[in-house]
Amino acid sequence: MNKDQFKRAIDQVEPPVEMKERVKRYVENAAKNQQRAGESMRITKMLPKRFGAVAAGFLILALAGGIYYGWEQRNATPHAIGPEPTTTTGQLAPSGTSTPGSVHLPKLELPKETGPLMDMIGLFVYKGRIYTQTASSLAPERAKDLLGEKVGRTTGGIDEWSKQSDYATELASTIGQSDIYSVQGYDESFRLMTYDLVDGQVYAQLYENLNDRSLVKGEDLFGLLGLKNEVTSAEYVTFSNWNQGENHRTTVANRSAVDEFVDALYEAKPLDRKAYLDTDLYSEENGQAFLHLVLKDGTDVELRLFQQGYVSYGFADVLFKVDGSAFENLWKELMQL
Amino acid sequence: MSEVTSRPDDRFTQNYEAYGTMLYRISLLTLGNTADAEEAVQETFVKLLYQAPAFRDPEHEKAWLIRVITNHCRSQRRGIWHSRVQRMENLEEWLPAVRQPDRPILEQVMLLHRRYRIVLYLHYYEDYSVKEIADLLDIGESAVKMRLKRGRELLRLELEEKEA
Repeated sequence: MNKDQFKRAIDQVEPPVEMKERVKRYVENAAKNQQRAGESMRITKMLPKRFGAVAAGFLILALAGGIYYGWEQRNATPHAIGPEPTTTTGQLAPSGTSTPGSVHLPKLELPKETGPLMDMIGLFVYKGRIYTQTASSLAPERAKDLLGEKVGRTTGGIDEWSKQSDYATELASTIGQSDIYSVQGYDESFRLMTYDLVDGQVYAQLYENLNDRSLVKGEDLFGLLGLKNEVTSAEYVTFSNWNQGENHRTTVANRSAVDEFVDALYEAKPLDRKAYLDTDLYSEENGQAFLHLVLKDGTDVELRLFQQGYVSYGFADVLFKVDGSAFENLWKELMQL
Repeated sequence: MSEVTSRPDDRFTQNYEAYGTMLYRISLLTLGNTADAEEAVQETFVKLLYQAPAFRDPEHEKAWLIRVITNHCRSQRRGIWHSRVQRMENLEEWLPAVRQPDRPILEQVMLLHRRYRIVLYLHYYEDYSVKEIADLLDIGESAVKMRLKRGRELLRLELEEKEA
């Protein structure tokens, strides 16, 4: 394949003719709503029969527990932030390995069917565990300091067409070939990193295994991240800023509010995130913010905060309900920045 | 562009003709299915018409749009369906419109990880430099180089390496 062939292939990708009219109606509807509601831009989705189209044209398959819960549970989800969903073992942990009151992050599963296109997250297999992309990052200049032992080199090999057995292949990955190292100060069964030199530059990325774990309280996750007493600075990014790609960070000066929040995170109650995905929690852009906690070792941990007192981390299918006063104090602080 | 108006028809048509296809390609390459891609385009046009800053020139506007839609796609992927539940679409849903001999090439492209797809698209189709892509996607230049390198390897692309 050469560049001309690549360009010619991309040239073939054209939006459907009728899309222009649908987008136009959507934009017009947004204008009316804007006039009606001032700054509020809450608008009804115009995409026709979105979920019907999904049912007809797509296969929704699960990398993780989705296959266990199915459409019935999704459809039953109320479209408002309701009472906290039950977090009993039976509903949340199909393997039955969690304890009552906990949230079980299920073991990654590959869809049984292959053939259709599946967009995948970055992951690799090591010692039978699957490590995936994470919301924590490490500056290249600090990565070398945390470099532990080399545990292997990924082989690639997993793609949208892989079978379940491919996931059992040690060091198979979706990220091509890369050297894998342990990370000093972190449990190897939880966190590893890829570390490569390209044209003399370090390229390091953290991967984490948060699968097949039962979380009884925040410490079960945030303890793995090593947040307590390790935060050197905290920075805030508004949702709008994050969404528009600027990622402008503002330092949170009130350290006691941050420390209090981190302490409360460890005691926070885990909830099944899937039960909240169709609620207003995710659609209220003004009610969300991103908090970056920079640790002594240079790790940058990104947390997603929801005004109602919830916190999520990366791809983990869990929300944490944080103690009211600790969360509110921090949220007020952020809103003043 | 940043003024709020109740009659965006004219501006919409002009902007759609200029950017609609590019935005659709980016979102389709990133999200992998047509329904989500169209939704991303809708949201991006709303932002363009009502929330955009004053642009210095067309290039500034184009870069802003790419940032907005890639961030929207990123947000979408972190959201309801894409964090652990993966949406899959049969290529037959939209590939029939693609003629031979380009179809197998596009199939290969779509089988790449989305991170490689979008970087390859911006570099080899939109002709953005490594630095420009790093700015657009808010990632390091070394990450862009790495993704280009791996994307080329996976596609067995015989592309010139004008990445600087």
